[in-house]
Amino acid sequence: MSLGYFLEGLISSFEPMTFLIMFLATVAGIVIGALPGLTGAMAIILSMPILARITPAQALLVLAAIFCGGMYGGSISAILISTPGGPSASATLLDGYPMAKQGRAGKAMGIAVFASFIGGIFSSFGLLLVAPLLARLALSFQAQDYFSLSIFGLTIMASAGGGALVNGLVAGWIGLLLSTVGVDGNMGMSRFTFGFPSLMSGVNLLPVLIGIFAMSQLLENAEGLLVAHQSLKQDLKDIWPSWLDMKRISLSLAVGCVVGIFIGIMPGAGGAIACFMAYDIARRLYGSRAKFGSGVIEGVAAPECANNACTGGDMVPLLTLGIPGDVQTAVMLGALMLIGVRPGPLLFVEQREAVYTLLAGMFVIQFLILFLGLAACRVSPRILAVPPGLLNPIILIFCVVGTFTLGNSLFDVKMALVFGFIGYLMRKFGYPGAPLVLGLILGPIAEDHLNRALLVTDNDWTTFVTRPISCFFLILSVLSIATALYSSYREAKLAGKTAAEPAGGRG
Amino acid sequence: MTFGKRFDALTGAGLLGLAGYVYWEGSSMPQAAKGLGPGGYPVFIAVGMAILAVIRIVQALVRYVRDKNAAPTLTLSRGAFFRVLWFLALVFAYLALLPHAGFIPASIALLVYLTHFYGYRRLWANVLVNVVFTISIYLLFRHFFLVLLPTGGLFG
Amino acid sequence: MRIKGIAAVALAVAFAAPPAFGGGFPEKPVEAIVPWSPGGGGDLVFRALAAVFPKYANGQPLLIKNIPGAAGVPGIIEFMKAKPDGYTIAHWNPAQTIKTHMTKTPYTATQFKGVANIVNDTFYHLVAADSPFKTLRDMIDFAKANPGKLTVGNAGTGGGSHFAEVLFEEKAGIAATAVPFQGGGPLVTGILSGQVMAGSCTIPEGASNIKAGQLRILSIYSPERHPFYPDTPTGLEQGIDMVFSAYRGIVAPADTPPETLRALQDIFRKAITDPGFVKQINDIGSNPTFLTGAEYDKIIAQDSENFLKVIKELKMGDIYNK
Repeated sequence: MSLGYFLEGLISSFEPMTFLIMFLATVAGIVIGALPGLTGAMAIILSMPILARITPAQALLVLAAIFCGGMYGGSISAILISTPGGPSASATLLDGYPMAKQGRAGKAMGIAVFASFIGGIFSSFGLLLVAPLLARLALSFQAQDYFSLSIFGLTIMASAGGGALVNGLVAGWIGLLLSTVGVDGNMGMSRFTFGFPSLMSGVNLLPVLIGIFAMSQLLENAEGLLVAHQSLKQDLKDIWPSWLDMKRISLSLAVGCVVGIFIGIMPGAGGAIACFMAYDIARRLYGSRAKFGSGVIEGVAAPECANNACTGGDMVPLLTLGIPGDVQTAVMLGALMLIGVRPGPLLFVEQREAVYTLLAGMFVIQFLILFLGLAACRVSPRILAVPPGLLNPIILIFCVVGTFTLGNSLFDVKMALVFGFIGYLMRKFGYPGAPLVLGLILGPIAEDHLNRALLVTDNDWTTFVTRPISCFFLILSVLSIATALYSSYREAKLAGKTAAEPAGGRG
Repeated sequence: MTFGKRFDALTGAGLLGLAGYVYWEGSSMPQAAKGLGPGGYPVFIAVGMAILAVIRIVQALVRYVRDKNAAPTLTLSRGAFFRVLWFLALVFAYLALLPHAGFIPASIALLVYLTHFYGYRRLWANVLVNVVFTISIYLLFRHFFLVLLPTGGLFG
Repeated sequence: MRIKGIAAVALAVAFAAPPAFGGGFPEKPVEAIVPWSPGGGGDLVFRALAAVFPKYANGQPLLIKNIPGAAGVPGIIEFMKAKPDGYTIAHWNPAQTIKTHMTKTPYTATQFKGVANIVNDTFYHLVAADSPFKTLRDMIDFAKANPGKLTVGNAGTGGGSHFAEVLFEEKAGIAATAVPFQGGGPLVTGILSGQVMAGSCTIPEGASNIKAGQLRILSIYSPERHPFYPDTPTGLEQGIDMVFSAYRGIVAPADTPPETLRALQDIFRKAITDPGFVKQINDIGSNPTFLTGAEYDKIIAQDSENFLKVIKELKMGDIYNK
């Protein structure tokens, strides 16, 4: 990667028109990312008519800005109203919302901005320095390795979202079960569709996400007249992380960056998986130093860093191989093709100027996110001052509209409602929702790769241990389960040693 | 109403039943010559779920036997639960009515009622905000996002 | 009642229809149902079409309604509710035809009226640059010597590329293992990474990799040498009697009056031959091929028959798998 081209690219990204477009696109990305139900993919589609009228370099910047902005934006609603603005912010609410409930929303959002910024810078470096290398790494992964990787991802299920181990596993398993609904990959048969054609392509992620996180919260709020707790005074002075804060979260940031970029370069894996993985790995590494789930900054930093670190990674297979990692990159691919930018190995040669503007622009975008994010930190917590009676129904309508827009289908919205009820029950009985979402995402990936691995090796099950990469991940999975079991065993012992549960009470 | 530890066992039993159903469905699907047939995965999941269900049942019963006075899993007042169900019913009705009544009237009605339901009693502010909001959303989506929210027979 | 008043006014404004241009079809926007999520499959083609549509359609826009879901079923179900007045059309391609035989769909492939064909994407076989198969013959010989050992990827079970492969194996008299991927992108990765020995792909999947020398084309299944790849032998030249392309076109509800159909067809004829459109489609790598509604109808019917045979033979899908 030549420094000269990079500098050229940097200069062109500061051209007034280009910069303005980038700025607006970042704003759009953040805002749409923050609104539950609306996704970055939609923002990209909206921008398509505009893309046709600007230069390819500017178009690339717009797409990147929306993508990165959206990744950060999801954290705003995750923290403030416990509803992830997009799948990749699902892990942010685990510690972000508790912090908001304690009046520390400003701090949570500040950490989110900072972490997203760090993750974004890291992935911009990754994209710039090692894109072709990373692409080659991605190519050396075959179905067996992907399968073992998804098994590893699934082992995180148990502890993601907190709560008792068994509860987490049950939730995750239900997610897996849900992922089997639809047409199977091998013989084209429909499973568990009960005659609903809309279910043939499987249970859509967005309605489930909205239902389990957003609607269930709304239902819980419906239990009683809402008064004080959401109009809590938020501390808006203490936003920017102090040096001490930065030291505390440095481990989270490291985990987030590594996990994010790694998951990103895997074609087919995206921000949603990265955020959970980073959250869980950070949780284990911190151990008792930070109580994840109770509202600790380390718990916000890890997933937010990971999902932004994922953006650069996601763009690697997109640009070098033309393979999207998730829905958003898939739409990006379409947009690129429509404007004549053909991703692939020759992109760096044929469209060098545009690509370098993108690589340089990525850095600029991260700074824009930092700036805009801090502005958002000061402004958006004020939304909590709106009387919850007024706010909740409006959030409901946003969810309805957003879910509807996805596939022009009321069926999706009804499904979201059903999952809202299921999510409500799960909340009440102590089953975490996050593992269910994770199971739903990883289920089809695991099955698809398992199927292919077996097809190619003629039903040879030993291939999963004979391939080194695959074996590595399987060992990691076993370790992951073992440590989870061990720490839950120790927790139980600790709880037993302290005072017994208060006697009396009904039940 | 309270749900004690015995209820957990019931959930476990329910899960076991679910696992059984999935297993039965899965194994009745055709086998593939190579690779995983459509039934393979569900069977695997069913087995896992059955194991978890059994663990849950055992755990619940053990806890119940060990400490009869343990705090219940869940305490929910009757009133609260009915409010939740009523909310659900309303939203379902709203969704069913959308294609017929149209987005704007239906949403305004729902919003105004729910805002009141959630405890915000200033009726005029309620109506004003919700009307402006609904119409803005509709226009925004129609002209900017180019998505036609359902329009009913009355206004279509 | 104030609410209703405000709402009524707002709606009237929102629905203000543009004045008709001296009469003639179309007088309001035409809606195209595309059963893909934006950016995927036929969506790009239709968006390119939408860019030139107003020029030939009295300035009316072509509104794209994306209804993603299994091979278009939810989308077409929605399409069936449309009035046969020419203002709602839908996308059609082989995958949707295949689907009608894989599951019980409330429609058949031939019940709609074809309006026009837009593009024609030919199938071809790709191998990695370092593959031991230098010609199609090599691959066929290998398969004959080792039945079942040849792994050929496709872009999805029940999709066009899968069926292209099945047809090919029938004509070549071999038995290979079909390995499904989740779409063209992963398929190309699979070939590059050596997961499968060859791939049954649709032009332009893999185009940039071919250009970069990472992939090679073994044969293309067009009637004559393909304009994009004049140096590549066709299947026919190499002894395989197979010509197969994916025809992507437009259909209208069955009861649409013939004059409206003709008007639509005319608009699309001009749109598809519009130089701006042609350039955009070529950029995507596809091949614009206008065919009249009648010709397209014939193709759909033919495809439907062929696919049905294969599905019954291989016992695929929900209906014929017993």
